[in-house]
Amino acid sequence: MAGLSLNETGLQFVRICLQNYWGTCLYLLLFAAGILWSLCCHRKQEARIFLGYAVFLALTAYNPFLVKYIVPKINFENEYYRLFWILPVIPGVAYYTVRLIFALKKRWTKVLLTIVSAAVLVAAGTPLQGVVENFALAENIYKVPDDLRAVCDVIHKDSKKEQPRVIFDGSLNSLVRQYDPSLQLVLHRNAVLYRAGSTVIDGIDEDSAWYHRQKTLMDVLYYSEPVDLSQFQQALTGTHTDYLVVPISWGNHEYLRQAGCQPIAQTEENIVYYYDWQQKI
Amino acid sequence: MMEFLKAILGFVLELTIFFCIGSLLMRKMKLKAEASLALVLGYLLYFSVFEFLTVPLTLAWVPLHTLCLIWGIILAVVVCLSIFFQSKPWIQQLKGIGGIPKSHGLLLLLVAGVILLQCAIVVLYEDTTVDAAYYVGTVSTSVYTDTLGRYNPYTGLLYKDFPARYILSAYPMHNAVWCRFLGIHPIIQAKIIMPVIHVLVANFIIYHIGKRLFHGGRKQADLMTCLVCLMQLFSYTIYTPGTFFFTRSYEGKSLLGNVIFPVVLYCSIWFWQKAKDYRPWLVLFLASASGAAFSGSSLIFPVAVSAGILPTLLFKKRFRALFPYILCMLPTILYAAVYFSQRLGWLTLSAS
Repeated sequence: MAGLSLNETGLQFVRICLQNYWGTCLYLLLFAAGILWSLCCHRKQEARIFLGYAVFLALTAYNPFLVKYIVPKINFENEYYRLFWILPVIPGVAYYTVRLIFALKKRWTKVLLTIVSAAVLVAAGTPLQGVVENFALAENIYKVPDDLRAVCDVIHKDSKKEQPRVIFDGSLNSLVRQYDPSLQLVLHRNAVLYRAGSTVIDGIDEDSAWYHRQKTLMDVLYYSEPVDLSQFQQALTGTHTDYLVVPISWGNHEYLRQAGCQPIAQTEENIVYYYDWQQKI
Repeated sequence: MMEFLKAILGFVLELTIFFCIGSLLMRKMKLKAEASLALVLGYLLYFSVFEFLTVPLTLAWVPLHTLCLIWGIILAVVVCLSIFFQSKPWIQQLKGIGGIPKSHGLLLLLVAGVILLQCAIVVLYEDTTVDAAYYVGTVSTSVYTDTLGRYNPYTGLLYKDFPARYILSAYPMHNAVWCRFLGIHPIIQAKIIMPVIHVLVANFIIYHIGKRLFHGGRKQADLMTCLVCLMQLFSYTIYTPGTFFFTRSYEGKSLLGNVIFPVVLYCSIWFWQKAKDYRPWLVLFLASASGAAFSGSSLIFPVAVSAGILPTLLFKKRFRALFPYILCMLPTILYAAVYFSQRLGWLTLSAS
C-alpha cells in the first residue's frame, strides 16, 4: 500500500492495510456475520467455501508473521492490498443477504426485506467518489478535455516536425499521449510523480543530469519556484523542447517570454508557446 | 458520429467473437448451452490464446500489422468453425428465449436495468488518473508506431529494454489490434468498448456464481447480481475492486479483481459440488492464462486458487486433485519464471 512500510509498521502492517482498504465500509463485518450465521443456523454446504477462503487467507496471505518476512522479499508492499481482492467479501455478503430474503415465504415480505437490505448495504458502505457522488462526466467521446484537443490541433498546425516535443501542464501531461501519440512528452510521468512526493516510484536518480533538467522545468512550470533564467533555458534546450502548454491562470507568463518562449496561440484555458531550442545551441 | 458508429460495431463484433469461441468451448466441455456462460468462457479462452501468441511476438519485435494479420486469420477460422458446428444449437437456444422471462420473473428487468446502469457509468465516466498514461498510452503508441509495445508511452521514445512489469501482459495489445482492425481511436476501444464488455462479463460471472450457490435458482442469482452491483457502488476507497471496476476498467488489474478472482470462486464452488469433474480445472487454467494477459499482479493467482480449492480438497479428502491443482497454475508459473528471471538479471528483454 502506498506510503505504508513494513519496516515501520511491523506486525501491524496487515491490520493497517485492511483498515485503509475498507475505510469506513462495514462489508467485512457483514461477511463475518454471514459466515457465523451460516455455521450456527443455516448449514448450507456451499457456504463453507467462504469459510474456507477466510481461514486459508487468515493463516497465509493475511498472517502478519508470514507477511512480515515474505512480502519485503518479493517487493510487494505497494501492491499488497490486491491480496484483499481474493477474499470474496462482496459476493459473500450478497449471497447471505439473498439467502435471508428467500428464507421468507410471502412475496411482499421478500420485497420488503430486499428494500431494507439494500438500505442497510447502502448505509454500511461508502459511496464511490466520482461515480455515486460528483459524477465525472466525460466532455467528449475521447474522454479528454476539449481544450486538450484544441491544443493538439494548434501544435500540429504550427509544427514542421512530425513528432514535436512538448511540455504540458500537470493536468494534461498524463492524458495527452493517450489522445495524440504523435506528440513527444518532455516531462516523464515517473519524474512528475517523484517530484510530487510519490513513494511508489523507484529508479529515479536524483543526481542525474536527466532528473535535474526535469526538476528545473517542473520547479518553474508546476511549482512556480524561483529558478535562474539561464538554467531554465538550458533545461529547455537540453530536453529539445519545442512547445510549452501553460494554463492562462499561471502567474508568470512574462518569465517565459524573457526565456525566449514565443506565444503562438491561446485556447480557452491554455497558452501555447514555441521555443526554438535549435537556435540556442 | 463516425467514431460512435465504429464503437458500436466494435462492441458487437468483439462480443460476437467471444460468444463464438465460448460456444465452441462449451460444446467441447459438454456444458449445457447458455449464452452468458459462453461469453465468459469465450472471453477467458480468447485472452489465454492471445497471451500465448502475443508475448513471444512482442519480444521478437514483430510489427503490429503482422500480429493483426495472424490474429485476424485465427479469429476468422474460429468464427467459421463456430457457425458451422453451433448454428443448430444457437437456433434451439433462440427458440427457448421466450422461456427466459418466465424463469426469471420481474427480477430480469431489475438485473437488466442494473447492468445497463453500469454500462452507462463506464461509458460516460471520465478518468484522469495517471496510470492510464501507460495502459491506454501504450495502445495509442503501438498503433501509431506499428509496433508491439516497443515505444515508451510516457515519452514516445524507443525503449532500450522492455519493462518486464508490463510487457508480459498482452491485454493492451488486444486493444491495439482492434484499433487496427476497425480504424478506431485507442481511447474509444480501451475506455468505452472494452469496459462495457467487462461489465457484461463480470456480471455474468457473478450471476453464475449465484446460480451455483443456489443450485440453479435464477431469481436468487439475479438478486445476488443486483446486490453485488449495489455494494460495488458503495465500497469506496482507492483500493477496492468496485472503484477499479467503475473508474479504471481499462487497467488489466481491474479485470483481475472483477473477473479472474470471481472465476476462481465460481470454480471453487463447482469443485465443491462436483469434486471429480475435470472441467473446473480447465476453466481455472484459462483463468490463470488470461489473468497473466491482464496484469502482472496475476502472480498472486496461486494464492487465490489455493484459498478456493485447498480447504475443499482437504475437507473432502480429494488428494488426487493435487495434480490438476498444480497444473491449472502453469501459465502463472511460466509468467513468474520469465518475470523473475528478468528481475534477477538472468534474462534481458531488449526492445531496440
